[in-house]
Amino acid sequence: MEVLLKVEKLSKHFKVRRTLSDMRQNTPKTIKAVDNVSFEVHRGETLGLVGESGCGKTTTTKVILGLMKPDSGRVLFEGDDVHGKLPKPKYSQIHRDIQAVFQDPAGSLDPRMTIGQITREPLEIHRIGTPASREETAKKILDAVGLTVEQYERYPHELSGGQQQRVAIARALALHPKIVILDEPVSALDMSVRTQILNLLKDLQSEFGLTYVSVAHDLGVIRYMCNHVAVMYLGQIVENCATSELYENPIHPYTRALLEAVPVPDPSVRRVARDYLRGSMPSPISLPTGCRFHTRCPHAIDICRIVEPQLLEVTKGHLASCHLADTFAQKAMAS
Amino acid sequence: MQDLSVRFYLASGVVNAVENLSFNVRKGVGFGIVGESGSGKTVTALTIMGLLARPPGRIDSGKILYNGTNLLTTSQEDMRRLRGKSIAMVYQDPMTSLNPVLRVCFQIAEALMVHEKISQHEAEARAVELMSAVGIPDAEKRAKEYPHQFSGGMRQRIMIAMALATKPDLLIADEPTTALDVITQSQILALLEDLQRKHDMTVILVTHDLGIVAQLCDEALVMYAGHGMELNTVKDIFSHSKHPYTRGLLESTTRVDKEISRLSSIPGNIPDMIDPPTGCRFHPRCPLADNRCARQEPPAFLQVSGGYSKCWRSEPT
Amino acid sequence: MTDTSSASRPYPARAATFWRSYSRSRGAVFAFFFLVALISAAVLADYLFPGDVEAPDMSRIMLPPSFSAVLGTDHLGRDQLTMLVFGARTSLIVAFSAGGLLAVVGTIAGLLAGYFGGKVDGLMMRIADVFLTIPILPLILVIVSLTGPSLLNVMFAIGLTSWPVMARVVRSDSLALMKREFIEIERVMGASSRRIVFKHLLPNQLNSVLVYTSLSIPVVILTEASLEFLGLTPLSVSWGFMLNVAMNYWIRGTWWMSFFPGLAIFATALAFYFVSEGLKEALNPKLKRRRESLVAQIAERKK
Repeated sequence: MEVLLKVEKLSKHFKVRRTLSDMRQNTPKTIKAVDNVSFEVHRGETLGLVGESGCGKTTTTKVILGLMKPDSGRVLFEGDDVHGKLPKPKYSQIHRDIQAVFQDPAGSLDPRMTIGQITREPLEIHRIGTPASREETAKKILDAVGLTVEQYERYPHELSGGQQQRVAIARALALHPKIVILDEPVSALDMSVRTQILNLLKDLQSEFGLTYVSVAHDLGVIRYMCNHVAVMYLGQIVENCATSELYENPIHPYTRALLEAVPVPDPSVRRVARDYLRGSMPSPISLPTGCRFHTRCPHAIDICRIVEPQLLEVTKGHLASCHLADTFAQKAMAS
Repeated sequence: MQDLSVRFYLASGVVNAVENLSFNVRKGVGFGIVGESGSGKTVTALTIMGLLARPPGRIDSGKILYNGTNLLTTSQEDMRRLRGKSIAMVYQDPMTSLNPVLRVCFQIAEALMVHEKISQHEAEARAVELMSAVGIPDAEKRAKEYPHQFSGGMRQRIMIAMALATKPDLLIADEPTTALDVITQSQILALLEDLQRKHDMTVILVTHDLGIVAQLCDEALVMYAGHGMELNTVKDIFSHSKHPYTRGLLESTTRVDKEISRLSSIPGNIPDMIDPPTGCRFHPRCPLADNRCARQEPPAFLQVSGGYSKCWRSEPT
Repeated sequence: MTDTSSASRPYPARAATFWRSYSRSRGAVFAFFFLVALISAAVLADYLFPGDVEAPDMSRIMLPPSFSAVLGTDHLGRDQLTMLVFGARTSLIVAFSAGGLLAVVGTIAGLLAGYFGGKVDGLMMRIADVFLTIPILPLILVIVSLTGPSLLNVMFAIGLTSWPVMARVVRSDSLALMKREFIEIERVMGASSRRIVFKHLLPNQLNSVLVYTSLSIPVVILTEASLEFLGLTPLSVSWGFMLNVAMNYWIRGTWWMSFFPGLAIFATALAFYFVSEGLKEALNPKLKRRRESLVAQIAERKK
């Protein structure tokens, strides 16, 4: 399977105001929102980017979408550097091929435009077809996402959250993109609607041959949607492997902690609520030395404090960034 | 709670927030109220606490019996005394529930000083104790700090400390962990479970997360569009629920522990609360609905366990 | 609501919906008709009151309101009503033109600052600050001394000194909008800057732009009136000038000479304010469907 999107050693820093004492002590204050992140997305698959808030997953998507420029590293789409100097038609093509659906259903729709206008917008931007044909295409796509013709004339605020998100999806698909970045597409929706939208996304994926990058903090959603997962912590990828691998044989202690922490909707599986992790997430401004996770890791040893671990292949197709990765991998195999 | 009905009277219409809701919570039990937005779960919690905004809200019928007293007929004065002393509440957003300009130990101490006749000094000392009881490290030092100096999880712990200061018999927690990340959430839930057991406290947990209900609660009430659809022990609800809405929710919940190729989803949308569907509120979305469901609202059919299910399909034959 | 594509919806239908929402505010309706009447009177002034307005008639000086002179006469015997109507012309011309000037310049500056941010924003705001510090009186004096007093100068001076405030309002709205997700999606889709600014930033601020413009018009009218009051312009037939003259005569008890021009200024300013209220209602698609949004609010509160 070919690689559609490749993120190569991507870094994005944000400068933070320094106080006088900072400047005197010469402490640089940058937030390393994304630090040396690399991963690949193959055509037709769904890659999940998981992590808690502040881990850098949203910043990564913004760089992929071209909304922010990276400080180092590249984003390659079908081999072309998204932020590089591209000829105009290529540039235009990339804007058609990479689309996005964001978290807040109402916020991603212009409140002054009707649903029809919103759906036609991408077609108008790229000057595709005539006004009449655009209307037809828009109506077809709205139908494909489960909205009725009657809603064509409505305004976003007249629709429910789930319906609004369907419009956002329709708009993203209007140009027949190759890859859609989904940034928490269902976290703002009610439970009964969530699954509707997830199923819709899955169906559309097979119908239109799409590739997804799904960013979420909900591990259940990730397991359902994705076939490959990358776990992020404080700006770095700490684990990257196939979905089933991640949930059945997690290697990195952070991943394991996350999985243990999710309450399972089955009272017979009553988890012993262990206080697995110590402390809380460090501030991204003053990152821990060595492995960023060592301050909370129950297994941390001396080397973890000093040397930053690399993201290496521990077992086939399974990457993890931990000094004790091999030990954990063997334990996981054994159990 | 017996037959509670709460409506909001607005210029544009009447919102039937809660209708004919009844349930009992025994002492020491972890009771969950599950529902999505518009289900009426938060309104129910606020009504118990007497914090319902009226107008435009109005309690049109019902009784809430707490240890024999009807909370709905108690005076404001008495309610205030009950609130904070025997019934406490923890809210969803720890950021806006704490006063940003007061030190945290003072805020916790305040609850104590209002309800017990002790000095500020003594109250603040108790506050520090409470802070370490809820798992805040370095409580002595941190007590002098302000809310913004704490993380979200810590703030929620402070809220819990405030709620528990007066050793209440009943704690109502409204979505206490929704704003927190999953690891902090598990810590807070573990804390709540510990405290509940230690103090033999009754906890009413309002949430939309079925996982939390399964892990923390003994009994649960499932609400939809202002109605109590199913009430039962948590074991029964999760293994053989009698109500199609509950079953629909369970079947559409994503899982971390199982691989699922396709989840079934509940079609349709949450109804308009000003103009809800006739008969059973869930019937437009229910796979088992028939004509009777559309015309007549089903009564709550009692179940063997003592709970009920508000569905024609659970009618005992 | 019938299913019609907005592209083919006839103008009368859209106008009808617009009016319905606009008329939600009763003040706005009165104000609208008042202004229509005022504008018509000003336009048709020559036909309504033939003859030379400024011609004195010393036989009728300083007559209180009566049947023959409904609003009284001034110190030169001229009928106040006539004077007011002609004065309306001046005030309205200045109001609309200066108001329009400050709206256009201010909005464009604000949009550019908000959309591009960074250095462009910094530059724009420094320029705006410079203009903000220019006091109108000395400015007008300078202009008048250079090119002589004229209506154009007044317009120009007022516009130049008032656009920065409008720019600030538009800029802050734009900056906030730029962070909204729907604008980000536009950029993801590859929309041009021009499209984003004019099709998305501006329409979502029409509310504040129009409201602020209609709020500045009264200020413009008052400023213009005070300039005339101080005698810095040559316009003898204007409300401000009438007030100027009235000042000299009030001691003789000629209350009508100051009352009516003052009332006219006040009423017109107020009318523009109410019009802005009506426009706010009419232009907000959310308020058009109040019922649904209220339900959503309740749902939000109940969660």
